Amino acid sequence: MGNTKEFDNIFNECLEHLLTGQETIEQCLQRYPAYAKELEPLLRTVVLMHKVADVKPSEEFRARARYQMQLKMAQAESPKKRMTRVMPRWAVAVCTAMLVFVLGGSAVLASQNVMPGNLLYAVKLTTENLQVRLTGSEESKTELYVAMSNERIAEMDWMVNNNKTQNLQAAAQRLNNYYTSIGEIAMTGETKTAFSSSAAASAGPIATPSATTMVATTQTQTIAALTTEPVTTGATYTTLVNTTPIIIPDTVNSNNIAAAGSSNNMSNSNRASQLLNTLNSNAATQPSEIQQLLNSDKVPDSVKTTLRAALAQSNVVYQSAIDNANH
Amino acid sequence: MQEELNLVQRARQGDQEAFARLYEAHFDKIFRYMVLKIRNQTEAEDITQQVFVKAYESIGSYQSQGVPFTAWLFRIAHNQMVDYVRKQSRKPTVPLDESLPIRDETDLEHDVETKIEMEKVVLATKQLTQAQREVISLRFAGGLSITEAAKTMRKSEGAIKALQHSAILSLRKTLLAGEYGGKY
Repeated sequence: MGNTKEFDNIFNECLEHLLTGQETIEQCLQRYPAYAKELEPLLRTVVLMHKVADVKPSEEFRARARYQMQLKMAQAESPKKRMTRVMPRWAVAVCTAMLVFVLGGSAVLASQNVMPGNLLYAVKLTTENLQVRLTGSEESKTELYVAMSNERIAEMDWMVNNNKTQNLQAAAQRLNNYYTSIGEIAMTGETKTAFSSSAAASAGPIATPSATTMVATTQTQTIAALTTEPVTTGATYTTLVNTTPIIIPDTVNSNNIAAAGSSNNMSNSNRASQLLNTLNSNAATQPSEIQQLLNSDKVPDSVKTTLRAALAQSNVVYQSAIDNANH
Repeated sequence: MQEELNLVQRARQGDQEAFARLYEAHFDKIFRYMVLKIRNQTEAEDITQQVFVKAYESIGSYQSQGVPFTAWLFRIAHNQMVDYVRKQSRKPTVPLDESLPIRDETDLEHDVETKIEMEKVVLATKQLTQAQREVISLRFAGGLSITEAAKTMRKSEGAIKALQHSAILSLRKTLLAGEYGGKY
């Protein structure tokens, strides 16, 4: 019994020294040669277990977690944040709109880098939908739908790579909806007429594209950049997957219309060209990205059915939108 | 230790910088603990985040009273993990990802070589009792001292040592009984 207790103490001492790196197995065994035979296999198991537990978080996760913690802490600074817990959806939408147009959109922009499953994801979707609703021209809506399609594809790619497939179906369905919307706009020919009539539109106090904000970012854009470079004007949209610049319309007030109208012909031409570039670029890339998702074993069959529909739609609607923009 | 006490005191009073430093000091340990307990890296990441959010929300009411901050934090981690397991048990069968994350991308080849060997060890931990597994996770992944593990588990230091010893013995026995017995 005495020996057992002594062995236990020696084992615990050696284990502590191994875990803290003060000693190696060999050094421990040298100190206790009488117990070496018994000790060695146990200490080797200790070292193996220690090695197994030596897992490091990825830099991507570390950065994401740190950012979300900062968000949490920033929210806690304002006691009014508690109100959001009981806010109905319409109130969230109103607040989001206020964030975009009054506060400059930095908080909403922060939500644009979040992925499905995150608490801020609903804000991200609400912001996107509001942008579409608040965008006057059809060509700008087309731009937004293309950007949103890129976003959903990037999210699906992220979900597959991170084994978070529970929200894949919802993202695939949204992608389908965006393609339907792009197709509807193209079929009514409003993309074309919106360009030709924009000079007339600029004479009245309605929302019309004026200044453009080009925002291009990549999936590797740092979180710090998002927090330190708030957007200072209205509707802005970033894409996670495509470095092609996206034209983003600012909603202008009547005071700015005269100034915007003075360069109307030139800016319309540029916008038409930009839209065509965006459509051509994404018509080439998005179908192949969807195909990659379809090739993945991690994507459930039910989602693949929706993705196949999206793939078929993408080929048709992009061609239709490009034809319209060309006219 | 005194520095941590000061940080905790400041964090309790709403000092965000102090909490951020505590976060940085314990983040890896909590993540390692979660990975070893849950064996699913993605879920471990989510729960690790939840642990710190919970800690941030509760730090104002933390009173040491003999429970070190580390022990308090790991109790939160344990409770979050228990919640996760409870929720999982209510869902239809969701297979756990038994694979361990790659430890260091720069050492990819080496890690792939040893990954299978390590997974055998992880599987062997399944044979341990809950208490043994908790001690192993706290000590080996969380890096807690005997004293801290004892505070976390509300047990005596002697009990922790005994659980640790019996866990290592059990692991060795399981590994010996396996096809890779000769290596261990």
